[in-house]
Amino acid sequence: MGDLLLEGMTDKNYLVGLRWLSGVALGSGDTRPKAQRLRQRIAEEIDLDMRRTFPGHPREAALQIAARDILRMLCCARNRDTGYTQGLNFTAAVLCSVMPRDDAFWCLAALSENLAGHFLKGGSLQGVLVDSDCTDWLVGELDAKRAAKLRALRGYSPALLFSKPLCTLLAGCMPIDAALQCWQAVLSAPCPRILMLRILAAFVLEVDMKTIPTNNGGASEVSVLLHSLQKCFQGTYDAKTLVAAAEYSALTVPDSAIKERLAHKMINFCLRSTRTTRREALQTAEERVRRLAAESRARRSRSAAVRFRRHAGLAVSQLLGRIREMCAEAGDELMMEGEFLSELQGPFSLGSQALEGPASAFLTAVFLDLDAAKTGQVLRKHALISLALLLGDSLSDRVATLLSLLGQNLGSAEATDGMDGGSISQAELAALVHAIQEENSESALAISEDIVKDCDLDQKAFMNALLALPPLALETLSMDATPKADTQSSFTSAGTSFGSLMAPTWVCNSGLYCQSCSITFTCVRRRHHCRACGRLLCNACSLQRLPLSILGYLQPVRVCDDCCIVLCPGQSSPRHA
Amino acid sequence: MSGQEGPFKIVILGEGRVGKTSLLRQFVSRTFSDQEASTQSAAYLDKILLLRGTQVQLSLWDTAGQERFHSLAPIYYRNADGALLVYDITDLESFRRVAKWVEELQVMGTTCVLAIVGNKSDLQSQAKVPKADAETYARSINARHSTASAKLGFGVDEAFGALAEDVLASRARAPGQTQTSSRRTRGALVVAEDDAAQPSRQKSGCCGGG
Repeated sequence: MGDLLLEGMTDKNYLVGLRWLSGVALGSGDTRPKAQRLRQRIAEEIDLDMRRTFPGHPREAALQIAARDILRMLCCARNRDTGYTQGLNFTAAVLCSVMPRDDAFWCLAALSENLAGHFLKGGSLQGVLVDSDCTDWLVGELDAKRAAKLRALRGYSPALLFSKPLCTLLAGCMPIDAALQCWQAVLSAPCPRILMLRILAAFVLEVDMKTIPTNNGGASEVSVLLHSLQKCFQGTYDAKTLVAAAEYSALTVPDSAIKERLAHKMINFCLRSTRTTRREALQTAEERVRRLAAESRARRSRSAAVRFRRHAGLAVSQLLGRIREMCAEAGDELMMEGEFLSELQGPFSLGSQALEGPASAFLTAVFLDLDAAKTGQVLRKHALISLALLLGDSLSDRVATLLSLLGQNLGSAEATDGMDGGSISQAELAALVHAIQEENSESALAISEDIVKDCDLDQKAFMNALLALPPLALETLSMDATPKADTQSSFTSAGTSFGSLMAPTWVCNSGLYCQSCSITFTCVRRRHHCRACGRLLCNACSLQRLPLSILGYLQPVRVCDDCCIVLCPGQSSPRHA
Repeated sequence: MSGQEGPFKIVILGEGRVGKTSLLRQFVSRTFSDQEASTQSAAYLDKILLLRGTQVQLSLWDTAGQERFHSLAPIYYRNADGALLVYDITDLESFRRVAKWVEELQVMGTTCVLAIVGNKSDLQSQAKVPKADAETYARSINARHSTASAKLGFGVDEAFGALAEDVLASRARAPGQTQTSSRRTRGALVVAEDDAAQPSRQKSGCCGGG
């Protein structure tokens, strides 16, 4: 049964799936009141919506029971952190109406995780806005005239058109047959999310523009367009041509362009959605970096600190000139938009004393990364993400470690050839990306991670870079490398094949209680992440240490008990002291 | 005054399952189903109302109530002329949510006319929200308050009618500020994050050395 059900699941979910099947992650034994209450709440939400799913359907009762079951399994057990979103009830019911319950569950899991993972995770649907904007842009690329006409409509907003199909994964707004055809195409595509956006764009291009009357003022209500789009959705009984059109659009707009656009949108979005203004966020981030660096300096030797500071001071003056230079040189559209530039120049051009220390080193690293991006597209995205990270007020001690690492390395780089990108080692870039990958404390950053994950190329490059890291760098990077466990058994030799396992998405740091035993975190009981599944756990639940070479952890790292059972079935007793 | 006015954009906000869609259905097509499908994202309906000899065209935006759709709400209430805030009189939590919506609308600087409606007045015996409290609150934010029952059709027309009249009146007071008045908020799509509710959330990092 397991094999059958696992079929069709992506590698990314393989580990989670295994754990789910083996029952350890189900939380069935979890009787702590908090976890129970959370599950109870999600289950209640699902129950309340079940009565409102396809009311009047001939097989209403059976459908609703099956849909309720798979939604409960998905939202309460499998993806507890994503919770339940209205709209999924329709998707679940559609799936239940055409296939057995168990298959429907796995289909729903694959769909929701591939297409909606980035916006379900954060608890708010911000990713929908990113996707909508991107689809709108895609429509513009494919048919500029039509897009201009659309945008002229009074009250037009991309999310108005696309949020509904995105939230229901197409199920709630089109006939079942067509939805199934779309899903089939989407799930077999290398980048499901991008094909989804292409399909939506194809739908908009299908809408007969003549049905949208323009009044004398040249502006008409966007609602007419909404109705036309809805009609177009509902009248689609055969989506084959649409899917073909969507796939065909790859000739005009390549996947990579969409990916880049998604990254760009996401970053703009991150910046926009910070409650404080961008400049404030930047200052807070800078402040925090300074504080953390001071702490880490206290731990390090004095000479290293001096060297670090001197280098940072030197970097400042060159930095701003370099930013301008690079933007002009590369003609980089993303940077030329001035969004980042103006913000960076503001607080930082006040004087070099304002730029004391690690913030500038970090920025230097970021821009060196950008520099490298001139040759390779891949890294530009990471550079942007790291910028967003800096501006997004989410630096933490991990970045501080990274900063000191970079500071040291940059010191040597300085000796060779100043700040020229040529001397920057693979390790630094990888380290940067690594830190970025692990810094997903915000929902927006979760989106960013998904973008990185969507790009197979990037992932591969990142993996290669990570595996090429010298152990020393890894040790500095990985906070968990200090307590050395004596085991040297590697991931692969444990007899489990996780050949194409992707790095897990770390659960957001704001969780209040352990995802395994539900105990609350305090200033003494710290948060920890299992490196294998990414869950947020207390120390007691993650005592095990295993090297996960496939994820780039050559030294033993923190692994939760559940993962340990899956990874090393033989070892049952905790070895760690 | 006679002729045509509008269209005015009215947005309906409120917690999930308070009966926003049902109210709208009752108002627009005089139908009620106790098994309304849940609204995903938003739905849109038109209605022409006859107010003192004037035809007033209303474009009514029904929104999804679930909390996580909150981040999509700004695109619906932007440029709105009026907002109908719905709560369920048998559910105190849904009334508290109304206050949050009001706060958000004020923070966003929208100038729309507000009206608060307590739905499900047919379940008066199970009422949990005291009418006096609701009215006091409505007065404090300068909004109308009424109760309605989408099921029986009581008070529905009155609620929408009163809101439409208020919108008309506010238009008459500020005739220069029609249609594009709230355009200035266009660029400022601020997404209300959940952080707002819990500003003191601890953001300590993970694995601080362990």
